[in-house]
Amino acid sequence: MKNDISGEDRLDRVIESVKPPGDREYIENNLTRFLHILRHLGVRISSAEAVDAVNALAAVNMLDRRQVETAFLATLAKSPEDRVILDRAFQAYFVTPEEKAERTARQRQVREQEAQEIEAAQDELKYELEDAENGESKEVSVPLTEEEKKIYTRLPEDKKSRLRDYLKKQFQGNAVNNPEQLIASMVKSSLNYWKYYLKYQGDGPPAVDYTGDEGTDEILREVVEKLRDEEQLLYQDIQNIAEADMPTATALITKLSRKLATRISRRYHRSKKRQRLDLRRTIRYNIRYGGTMFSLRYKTKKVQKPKILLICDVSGSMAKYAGFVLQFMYGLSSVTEEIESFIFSEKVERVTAEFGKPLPFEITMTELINRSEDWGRGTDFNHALAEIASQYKGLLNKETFVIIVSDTKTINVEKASLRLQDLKKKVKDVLWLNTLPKKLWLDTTSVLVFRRYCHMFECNTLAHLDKIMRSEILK
Amino acid sequence: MELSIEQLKSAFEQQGYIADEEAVVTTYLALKLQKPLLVEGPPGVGKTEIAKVLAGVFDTELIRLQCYEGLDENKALYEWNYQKQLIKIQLSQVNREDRRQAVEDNLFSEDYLLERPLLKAIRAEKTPVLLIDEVDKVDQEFEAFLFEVLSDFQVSIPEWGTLKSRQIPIVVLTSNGERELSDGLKRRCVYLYLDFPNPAKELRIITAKVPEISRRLSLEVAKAVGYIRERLELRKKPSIAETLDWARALVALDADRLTPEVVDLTLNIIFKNKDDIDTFRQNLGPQELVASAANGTGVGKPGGRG
Repeated sequence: MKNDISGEDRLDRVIESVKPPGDREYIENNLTRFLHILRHLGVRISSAEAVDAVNALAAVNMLDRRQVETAFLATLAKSPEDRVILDRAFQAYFVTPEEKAERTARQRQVREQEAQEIEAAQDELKYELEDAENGESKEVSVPLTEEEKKIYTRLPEDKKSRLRDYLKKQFQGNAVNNPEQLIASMVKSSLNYWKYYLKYQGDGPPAVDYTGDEGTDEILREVVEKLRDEEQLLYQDIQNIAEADMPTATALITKLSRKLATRISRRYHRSKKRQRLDLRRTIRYNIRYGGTMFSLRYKTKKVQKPKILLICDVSGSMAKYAGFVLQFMYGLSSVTEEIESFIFSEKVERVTAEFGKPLPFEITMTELINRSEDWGRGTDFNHALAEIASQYKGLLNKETFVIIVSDTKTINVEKASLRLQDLKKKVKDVLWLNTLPKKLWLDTTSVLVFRRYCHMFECNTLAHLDKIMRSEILK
Repeated sequence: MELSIEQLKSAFEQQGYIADEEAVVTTYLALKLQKPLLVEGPPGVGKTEIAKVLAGVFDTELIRLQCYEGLDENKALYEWNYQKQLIKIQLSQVNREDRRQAVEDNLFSEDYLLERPLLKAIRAEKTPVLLIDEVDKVDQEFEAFLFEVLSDFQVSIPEWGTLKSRQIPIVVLTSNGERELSDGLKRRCVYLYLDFPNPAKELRIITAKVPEISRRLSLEVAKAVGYIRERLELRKKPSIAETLDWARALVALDADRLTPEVVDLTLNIIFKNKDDIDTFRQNLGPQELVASAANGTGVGKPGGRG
């Protein structure tokens, strides 16, 4: 170190040291930022693993890009899914300055375009209002929040023009009291409807929480886009999966439902520690050794495999998911014999026998659809649960694991929730796979009510089904 | 023994294990950081083999703990030989001259200890390779016990006190992903995912393991298997072991290239259940398989990330 550091130099150093870490380009900082990005992409990394990563980096050739990536993969990504995310993040994060500048420019352009569209929305949603007193007309723009403007920009062109026409025609020269407020609320409620609709339409991208830091979010956005393009099938709403992709999706559903069945119905042997000595059998057995307790016998409690009770909603509102529900039922039934399947809409029907036969999927389905009258009707969950509770009492016990597949939309929500509460008490656990997007849960009363008595999971993409498999309650 | 990445790679090859760079670098990191190596992947891609090869490379003992549902500490760590202890007590009652205290001390000596794989690894003189196979099969309680042992490499036997290992064993854990392992266990390991090999790698494996095969046939076999894995949705995709069995079977049948007839005869070696054979016949068939393997369109996707 130099001894003759001038005062100015020293000041610079102090400033440098108090700068936020992101502004300093040390390898550690670079690494911590990378870890930060991975965590935001949903990869769980502990501090111990971060230390491992640093040690691993020290052990490999830092100039060899492939070795560096392998070091990260070995220490940070501990599942096939995490490996894919880490790989994409690595490609997006460790780029040359030119590529980085290009990306920044590209994303800035996208944002500028968005801003322009929002501005245009402000201009487009104007209308002429005649002042009754002096006969002059003035231009008034609808007071909208940023979010509402954004929704407007996302609307298809014909819907936009319909809204504009409405503004033009409806109130021109129409002298009502305080028309501005009335118009604003009309437009707002219309946009609100679209908000709901667009939410429902959107395919769920991989869940990411953005940081608010421009540089970091840029990378996150790129990774998310890449993942969404590549793993489209996984993140796409099941009802929108194209015909051509169906065989692959079917195979995935079958695989995942199998995984679910094995996970639920695992039977654990009890270790010897928990067993109690069976004195009677021990003495009896050891008579052959002259009464010396040579071989000990234990009382073993037979652990029953949990039975699965599958209750699937096949009403009108679930029609779009019918294919998925059936594949799911078929997949589960083909791996475990201990399963009872029911479908319900207005009535409930036991379909265990149909799924129990070793027939190909298509034949089973045709048979089932032709025979059953429940397809596409209204939903009465209360009735379904009541009937299962009264007619199939024997199925409900502490060894039974209940899986419900439904969008919660039913009549008699309150009564049904009481039934569900009752069911929950009788069985081992209740798992609810909800096809309604999670974004809508807070606005849906039935979800809030049913959620109290079961473990509810969003399940409208294959990624969701996979995530449920990895959730804590099934471990 | 310290090895560089290149040395490890050539040592692997000397042992007849064809590994890509990622597998070598990851194994190297596990050795260097002295962490257990957790290998995941579908069945039959050479997960267990890594441990065997490492034992060969370092010329040391391979200690294997095969996991199964219900495996407990008694079977994994140690157990007192109850029957032998009982005989000793009985004998000492006959020979009254034995002093009581001495008998009691002796009862918990080395002679009465049944050493199980984990304890064996901890007490080994020379750094052993400890293979914990199919760790996803054990239950959670045991998993927690396992990662306690793996982080400290010490165990306590109440009658003896704490035993600490002389050196940290090379630990390889394998998992088929039947169950998600706990975060705690994963955190302590270096992770390697082995996927099915791409045709180029599989060709090298076939050539190394079945040297008597002709060049043309091995190329066609590698392509055909890659094509089957990529094209068909099977219950069980053919593993490397099945590829090798198939190659050996074809050599035994004196085939020098794939023909629909010979494929038809040997289907039972590639597919291990009737459903898969049916799927193959319906969706692909021997004709198309042979054609794709011969004209080179059947180069499956390379075993990439994930």
